[in-house]
Amino acid sequence: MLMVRPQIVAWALLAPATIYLVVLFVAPLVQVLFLSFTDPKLSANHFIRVFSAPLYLRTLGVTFQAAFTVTAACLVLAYPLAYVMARSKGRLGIILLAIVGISFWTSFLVRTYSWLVIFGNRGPIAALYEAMGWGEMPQLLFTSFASTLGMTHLMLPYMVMALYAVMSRIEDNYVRAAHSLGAPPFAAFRTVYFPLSLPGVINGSLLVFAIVMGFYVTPQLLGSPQSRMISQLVAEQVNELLAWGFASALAVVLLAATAIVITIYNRVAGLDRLWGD
Amino acid sequence: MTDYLEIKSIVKSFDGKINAVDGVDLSIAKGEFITLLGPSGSGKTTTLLMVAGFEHPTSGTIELTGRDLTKIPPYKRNVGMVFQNYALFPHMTVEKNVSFPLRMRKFNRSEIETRVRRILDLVALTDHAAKYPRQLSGGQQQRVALARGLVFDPDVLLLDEPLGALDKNLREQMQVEIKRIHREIGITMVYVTHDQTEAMTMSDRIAVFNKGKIEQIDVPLKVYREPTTRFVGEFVGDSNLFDGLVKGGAVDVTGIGAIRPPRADPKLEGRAVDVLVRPEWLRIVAPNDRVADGELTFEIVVDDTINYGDSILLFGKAQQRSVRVRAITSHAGIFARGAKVRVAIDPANVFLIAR
Repeated sequence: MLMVRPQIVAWALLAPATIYLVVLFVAPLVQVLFLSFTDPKLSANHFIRVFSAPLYLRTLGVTFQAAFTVTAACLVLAYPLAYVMARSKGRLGIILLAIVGISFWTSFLVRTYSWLVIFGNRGPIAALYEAMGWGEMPQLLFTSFASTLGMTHLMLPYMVMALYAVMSRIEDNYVRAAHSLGAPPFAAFRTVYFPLSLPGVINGSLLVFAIVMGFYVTPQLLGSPQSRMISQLVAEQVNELLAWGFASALAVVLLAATAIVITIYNRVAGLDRLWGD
Repeated sequence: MTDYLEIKSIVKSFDGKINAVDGVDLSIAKGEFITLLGPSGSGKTTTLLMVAGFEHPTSGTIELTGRDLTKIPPYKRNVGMVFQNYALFPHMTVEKNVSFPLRMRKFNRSEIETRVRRILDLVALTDHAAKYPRQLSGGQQQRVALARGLVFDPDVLLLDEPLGALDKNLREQMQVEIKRIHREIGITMVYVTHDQTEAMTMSDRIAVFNKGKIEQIDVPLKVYREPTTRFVGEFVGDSNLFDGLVKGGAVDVTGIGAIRPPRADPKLEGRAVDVLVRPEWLRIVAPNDRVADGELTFEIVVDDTINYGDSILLFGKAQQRSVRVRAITSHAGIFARGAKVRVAIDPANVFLIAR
């Protein structure tokens, strides 16, 4: 065996990923930060503009609201599903896992387009309205409802997976112990199962929240032009106005806002606080 | 003996074909320590889970002080349980774990405090009340599980292989500890294990399970000395089982000779039997030792020995039949491979098992 010091081996193993991240992630990020203060000239004007113009603050608000709504909706929808998946012994759990998995591996774009079809003028909902004689169907496409629904649909598998990963490792014996100690089903869930599933709730929420904060495709295709999300604004600044500096500033604000929310969330619901040291 | 916990011909089938528990009857007295002993898959754990209410019998009933438990959900049974891996709630401190059953029963705060303090005192964990389970050693976790299962004064405490995860020394300590708690509280305990030593040392009575049925229920010594089936004779303790035929009150042990056990069941007359001779019931006869009247002596050729320090186990053959002898000596050297050793059986130390 070759006599190599363990540290050298460790560094050698770390190097490819580190170099990749530094060149393709950290460096561009630094450049964005740099551009946000220097393009076209050195100033903090871009940031002042973001925080003084009602349009941009509103966009930030819309973005936050969408992220909160989608996260909450995903949690409410995914929790029972993941619970059944984790607790059913037989085929049901495997079938559900497969369905969620297929959904997980289908591209965002394909799934977003499918909503275009569903909500479209010649889609199933329009057909239903016509068949039932309910008259004109309400405008669904290009509303924040469609955008939120689409994003919830896209993010649901992430939430399910995050919850399932934790729930599938909660031993049946914990719940059984709770029952044997006199806890009826709901009390056992509230006092034992739910607290034990919290790491999954936290992981899933952080994951979904962070992704939705930067969502572009779905709000662009399904959402209302009047209530755009911040990434759409960034894209517009770059693609249509070539305003690299301002686009960078918006991106930095998005990044910072996401980081702040995640930090607060982690402080409030941090695992270290939940489970002792 | 008044019947306290009564298990009446319960059957449990998971697939509708094979009965995991196949007609078990068991009546347990108040304050008794009973062990369900058997190999894995013998139905002992399933039986315990049915008493706890986590499995429902396919047929039969379970009664506690005359009350039919069968349709009562686990959380209304007032039956405590200690799980194999303790199942302590990892997100609660020792104190919260132990007070859990009291909080579920809506005890008032001072009552909870008093009881938790008293039970933690009993298991010597008062100083660890504020710790989380994973900050404790295996033995301490075990004691928390016991405290939690006892604090609400259950009618019965069920223990499912509670010492399985502990190393040997700790296991012995905990055996003593559990016995002490049993003595001090006087609670009825149903203990499941596959470890026959544990069953022997702790129980008032042992129920030996095999293939979903109870083969024998009796006090430990009786199970050891007078097993009613070949399975029990082999499963509990170390054994020599010879083929034999009962003729005129004596048993002719194939290849070894005839001996007349004083307590042979007359019903066995003329029948083929299994002759049980525990390895320690055999006596090594030194060249100038005397042999008592009625003793059966024969010669074995030594194959191997294991020296335990306090005793040796000698593996040999008599007429191609394996024989094990346990002798209290540490001079294993005398019994080299190939050596011929004379052994004697006292007729009182022979037990005949009907086939």
